[in-house]
Amino acid sequence: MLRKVISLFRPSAVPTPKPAVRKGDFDRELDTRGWNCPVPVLQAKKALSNLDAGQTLHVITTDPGSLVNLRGLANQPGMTLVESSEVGDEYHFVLKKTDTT
Amino acid sequence: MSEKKLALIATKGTLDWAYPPFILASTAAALGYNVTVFFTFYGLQLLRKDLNLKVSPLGNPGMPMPMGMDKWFPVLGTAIPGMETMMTSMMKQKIKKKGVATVQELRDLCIEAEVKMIGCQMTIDLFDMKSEDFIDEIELGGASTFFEFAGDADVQLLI
Repeated sequence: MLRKVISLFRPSAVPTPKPAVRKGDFDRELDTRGWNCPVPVLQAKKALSNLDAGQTLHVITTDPGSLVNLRGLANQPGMTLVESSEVGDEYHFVLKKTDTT
Repeated sequence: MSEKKLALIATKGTLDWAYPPFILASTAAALGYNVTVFFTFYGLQLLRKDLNLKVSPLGNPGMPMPMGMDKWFPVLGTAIPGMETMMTSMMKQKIKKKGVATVQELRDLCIEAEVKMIGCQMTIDLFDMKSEDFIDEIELGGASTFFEFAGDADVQLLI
């Protein structure tokens, strides 16, 4: 919480604990930490629909259900899962939109 | 890969049972399914503009209650006036605390994901409900409207 507040004022002053996905590796970021199934997959779907082909979305979740849900989303035609990792109790996914159809 | 289809029938109008149809419908839509939900009998309460859903401990031995009340609290006690309101507000608090979306939020996500919702005309007539009390995004129909869609759906469920 405190980190979030500080980051509003001085983003550079906040030490982030070993990032799973580096900044610059993705085009958009979606933070769904604290939300339970099925919110992360629904918000990810919505965020992806606003991306152009070739762009990537970094999704951060704390919901273990998203391991299945987000992989399911990435298996849809026109999407791929570029990366997924676990850091502490957080799950990180990078999804890429391969075409807009 | 051709689009998969999901057909649901929602028959229950309580706060707890509002979740399964809306969670399944919205998730399936996100995963590329074409979804239609048919709301009949008490399920129509889920389509009201003004959602006022409640959960009742009465006649529900499977419902976990605080302080192990589900173990020792007399069944008749769950019929005390105000119990329903109390259990409803407790459940709403829990939903919020655990980061579970509200029914309203899930319904909005379903609408956004173009989940088709059909309200049962017969139920509306039977209970003298007013069609203007329901959200505008629904269509009214009957059993045959459901079968038009469900006949070739990949998954059909009654909830």
